[in-house]
Amino acid sequence: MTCAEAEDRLDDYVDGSLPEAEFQEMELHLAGCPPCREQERRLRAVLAQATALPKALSPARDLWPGIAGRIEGQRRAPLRGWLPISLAAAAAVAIALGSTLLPRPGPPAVPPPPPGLSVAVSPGSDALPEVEADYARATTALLAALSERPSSFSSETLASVQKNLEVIDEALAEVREALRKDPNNGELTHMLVATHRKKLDVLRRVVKLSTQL
Amino acid sequence: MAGLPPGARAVFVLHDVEGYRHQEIAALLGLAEGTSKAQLHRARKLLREALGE
Repeated sequence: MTCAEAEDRLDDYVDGSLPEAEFQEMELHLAGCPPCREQERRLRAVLAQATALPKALSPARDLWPGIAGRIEGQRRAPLRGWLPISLAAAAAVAIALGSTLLPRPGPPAVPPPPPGLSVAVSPGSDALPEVEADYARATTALLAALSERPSSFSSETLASVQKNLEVIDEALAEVREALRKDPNNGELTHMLVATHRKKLDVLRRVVKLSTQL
Repeated sequence: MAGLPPGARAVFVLHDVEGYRHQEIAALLGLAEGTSKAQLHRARKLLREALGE
């Protein structure tokens, strides 16, 4: 096995997904190749750090069930108090946060986004700014609906939501920046539109939760 | 991690931080499974390099 082959197989080796024969070959190679062993050591260090990170980016697993559990008729900080922040932060729901990561909504508590929002946008299309504007309008409408709800979340819940939305907002800004440099990148275009769609998903769910307080 | 390209970062976070499988990530992000693997490899390689600097 060459170093290049070892490099190609390093992920699967460390993940434990290499077939037995290749695993043995990899072990042999690593035993006699200090540079590749160093790469293995670094990868394991990266993974150890990644595993140690808080799972704050996965609402479905940590945040949202917690939110739902903690919201038991508590009426503390008024919901409208965090709206200015969320207006900015709610620019997106992360690339890393698929709608399937979140609790499935029940019947819609608020109007769905305009039908046009589900239309796919071609990479480099002039329609993208217009689609983004449509999403912004839908977001504003949802936040307005939210501000009209008399319910409230606990400050702890608000902080968690706000933190996640900020991370999401940052992710959207990165995609926009990447798209600016590579406007014909279909994957990035898809990510941008999907992120907007998921943002609305989350906002609809927050509105729905607010109605249950 | 903040310095990773957006696509690679998203896959890295979902796979190595959150523990999702490539099949799930592909469905979530609308990618081919092979693309998810390639993005993960890219992210890990960049992070390995950063670790060595």
